[in-house]
Amino acid sequence: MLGKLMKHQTKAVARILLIIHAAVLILAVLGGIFTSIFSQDTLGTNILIGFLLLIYILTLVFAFFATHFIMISRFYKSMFTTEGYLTHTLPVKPWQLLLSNTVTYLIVSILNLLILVSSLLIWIRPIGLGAELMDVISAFADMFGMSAPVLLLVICGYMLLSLLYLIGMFYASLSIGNLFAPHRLVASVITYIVLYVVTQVVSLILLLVSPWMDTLSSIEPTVSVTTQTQIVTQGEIAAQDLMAAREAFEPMISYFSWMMVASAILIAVLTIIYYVVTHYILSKKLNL
Amino acid sequence: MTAIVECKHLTKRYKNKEALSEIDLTLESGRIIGLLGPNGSGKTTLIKLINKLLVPTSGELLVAGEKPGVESKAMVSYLPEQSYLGDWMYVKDALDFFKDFYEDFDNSRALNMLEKLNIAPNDKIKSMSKGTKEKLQLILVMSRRAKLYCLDEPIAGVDPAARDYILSTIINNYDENATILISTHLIADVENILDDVIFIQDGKIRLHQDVDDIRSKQGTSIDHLFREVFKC
Repeated sequence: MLGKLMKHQTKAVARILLIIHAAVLILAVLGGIFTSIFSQDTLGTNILIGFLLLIYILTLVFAFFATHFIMISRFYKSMFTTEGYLTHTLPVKPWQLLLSNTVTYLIVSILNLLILVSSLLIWIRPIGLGAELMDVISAFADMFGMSAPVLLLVICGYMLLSLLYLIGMFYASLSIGNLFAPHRLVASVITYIVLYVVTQVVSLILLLVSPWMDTLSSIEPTVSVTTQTQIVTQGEIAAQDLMAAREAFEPMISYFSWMMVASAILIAVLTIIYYVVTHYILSKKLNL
Repeated sequence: MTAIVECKHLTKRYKNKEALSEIDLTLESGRIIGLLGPNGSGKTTLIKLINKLLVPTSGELLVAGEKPGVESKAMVSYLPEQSYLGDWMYVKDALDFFKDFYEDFDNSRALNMLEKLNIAPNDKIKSMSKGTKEKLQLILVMSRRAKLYCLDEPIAGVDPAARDYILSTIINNYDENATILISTHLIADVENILDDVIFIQDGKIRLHQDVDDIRSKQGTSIDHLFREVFKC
């Protein structure tokens, strides 16, 4: 049943999304071709490529926002407009509708990001950037005390969570807005703004009262390193420099780790709340 | 005769208006029932409640003995007043949709009827006239072998020839064991196909009777009786 729901949800948006992303890729390929053909630094070629770049970037930005707008509209149309008469008389449960919509949105937004990033790479065509990037990632991974693949996994997990959070917030806003028919759309927008502001304020408060604010303000790495180096020999100075720097930065690193974990928990909790609210409204408070 | 729909003290309130007030009603299966009343009398509200597009404020509504839910949706075929097919759909998408979600959908029957109306699977719904869209929706809904058909104003807003077509489609695709609930305010056109009528006004049931009873005992047509009962 979920598969069938997702199939039809995808059908509804496939054509327009394919057109938009094809445009992005075509412009990227054109850009890649043009930059390799016209490699002379003349005014003519620069204007041409600059112009193409401008159109490409505009299309890129448009593609990103359009994709999200299309997915949000799809949810809204299929749930709360006359198309809702079709959706809600299907022999399926509300959670199935919610889950299928979410997964479709998730897949579409991930594909959107992949295509946009790939198109950028076609323009830039970095050689050897891969190896450099791996080095940077490994360095970060060391700092946080985990291996590079684990760090990548953590980053992907965090991005996935953020996407779910975003989608949940949109769906919840639309559902809550539907309670205020006939001013559904306005109410949805207002709900979203309210949720956004409240979340930001709460996060800020949590940040200010978190125990790490004191530690953060007491970090003075430069001072301790200088003090250390005055006492010992050259070889030992170098080693102790590194050690001292590391020690000094340790609270900062643990602070960031703590922030990552805390915000992940906060986002997860909020996401769950949003989905529970949406589900409740779809099952008990639907008044088409 | 089993009851396909049962309402006990069913009430639906919107903000300050009571769309349905303490409705007690039983719909027997195997009948063609007309839900007749002026605009705003509660006809659509009752149908939406049966289809779980609305939830009751108080009271009880049962479809085949159970509260409206997944099971009832699988056996109830609903035709709303407005177009509910996505603008993005082609006819074949709509057929696919019904085929996928409704086990009781008869695809060949639907294709047959569409062919007779020169509606092709590759036609885009957005480019159809209102009348054609209504006929398409009706065909999809009547091609399901459902236990209960809820048709909300199926003939309003179409020309008389189309009305005849719609009514004959309803009759020709009717399964004797199924129930058809037709809500309309165009009495004269439908009264010939009805078994029972329900008169509803201001959210209350005014009358619920067998059509033959009315014609023989009261010696009047339903249309005539309607005008009397609902005199302004």
